[in-house]
Amino acid sequence: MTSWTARDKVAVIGVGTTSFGDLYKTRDKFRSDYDLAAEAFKVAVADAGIDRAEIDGLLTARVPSYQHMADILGMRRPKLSYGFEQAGRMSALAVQAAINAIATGHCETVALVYGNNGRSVGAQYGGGEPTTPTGQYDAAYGMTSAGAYVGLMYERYRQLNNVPDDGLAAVSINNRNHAKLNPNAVMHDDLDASIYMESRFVAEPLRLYDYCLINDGGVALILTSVERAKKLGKPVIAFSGTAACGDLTNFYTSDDYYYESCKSVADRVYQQAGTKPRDIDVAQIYDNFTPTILFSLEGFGFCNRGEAHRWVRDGRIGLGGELPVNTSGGHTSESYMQGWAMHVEAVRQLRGECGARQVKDAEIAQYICAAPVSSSHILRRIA
Amino acid sequence: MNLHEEYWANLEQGEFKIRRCNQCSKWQFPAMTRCQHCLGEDLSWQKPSGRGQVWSWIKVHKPYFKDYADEVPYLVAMIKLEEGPLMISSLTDVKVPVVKCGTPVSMVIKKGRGGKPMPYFQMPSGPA
Ligand SMILES: [Zn+2]
Repeated sequence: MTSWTARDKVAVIGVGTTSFGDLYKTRDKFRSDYDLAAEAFKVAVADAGIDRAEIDGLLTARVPSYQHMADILGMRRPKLSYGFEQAGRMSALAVQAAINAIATGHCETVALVYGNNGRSVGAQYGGGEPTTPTGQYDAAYGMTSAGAYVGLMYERYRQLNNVPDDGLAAVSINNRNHAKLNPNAVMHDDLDASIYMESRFVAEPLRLYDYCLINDGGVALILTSVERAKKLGKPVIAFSGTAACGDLTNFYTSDDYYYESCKSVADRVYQQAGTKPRDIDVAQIYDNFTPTILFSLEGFGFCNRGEAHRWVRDGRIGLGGELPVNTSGGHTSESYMQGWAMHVEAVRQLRGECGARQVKDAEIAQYICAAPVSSSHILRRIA
Repeated sequence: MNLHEEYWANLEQGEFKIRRCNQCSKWQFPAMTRCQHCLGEDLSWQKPSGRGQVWSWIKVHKPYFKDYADEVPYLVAMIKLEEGPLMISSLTDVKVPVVKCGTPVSMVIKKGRGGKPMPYFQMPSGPA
């Protein structure tokens, strides 16, 4: 195994988010994704307490042009500047690019900005023009949307592992319970097992509450070297490990529910950080659709294959449980910010800034995304 | 014609064909210009056996497509062809409430929306 040389060398010094709950209440066709990203950037710079001129790298996601983004932010000559495609799997990959650039000395301080006006402009995941080679074939059968491809995986998982009908209820309700403690989350209504079970199917076996909440919003992160972060006088939240692995086929559906790719990431990320699943104090798990939480827990070794649907029950993934998961409410109850806001939540948990939803004494956080490119980081408060 | 047009044109002629590598004999779906296994460019359209298994299936309740709005809920299945490739299709003659993953199915060409002939997969007859 190749060794990763950036352990505890790069830290997150600034995080910023727009409102999510307020933005959800109104649609505005003039609301700009660039402006949402800029708003989050401004918050993140203030949070970091640095001079904006010290930022010498810019990575953008979802906004169409990194050049326009840089112009808006007044970043004329960054040493690092490019954009990532809008898929949610790119959030961790963009963060990895920033870590690598800082650790190898390409630049010193990188801002990552994400802007999304999907709700206002009526973003649809499914039903649009096919974008993959199989897309035109699949659309002829009425097949579309990542949710439907995850539905195929979950139906097989459900059958082969004898999962009861309410196999996803615990993770969906867990997200909601946490969102109720998060003032910025979109959803604060009660969600219990009967409301969950009575909700409508979208792509059966997936129900309404298994789907992410498409919303408007912006998120920004500022990363720099640990050396520099230590001079800023705030808790230092460092990356102790980060890894990724593709499972790249024609379909969003993976025939092993991303197990092998997740396992590859897990093996590396835990080795890099010198941790095991039981050392993780809090986990943020990418959930564009709730089955990915089960697939992630299995692929990363928190439980045995086929058993995650039982493992998540009885409060194990709630506050005070063995592994609090998605403490902000996740994509189904906080807001679908494609993994970006989950990065922020991991940092805020490690800084102890989470109020009613704070995991007591959280020192090690993990971000996990099971997708056609699976990824994970282990973040640690080191000072 | 590009490869996708050729695929649909074969179906218009009543033939379900997918691409097979003439060098290493591996099948592929959907059609590409090159073999994924040996990177060879010498592929031809051939008829697979038409046999496969239901890898999984879903029932779509949300009318994503205007064309399908009056058909919801409808079934979509992922089929694993005997030759290896996975493909999205739908099932005919479904008489059970839950289709078991692994159910053997066989290909039939039927007209889809808009009258276009497309491959569907038939559930076994008789008690499941
Ligand atoms: Zn070949």
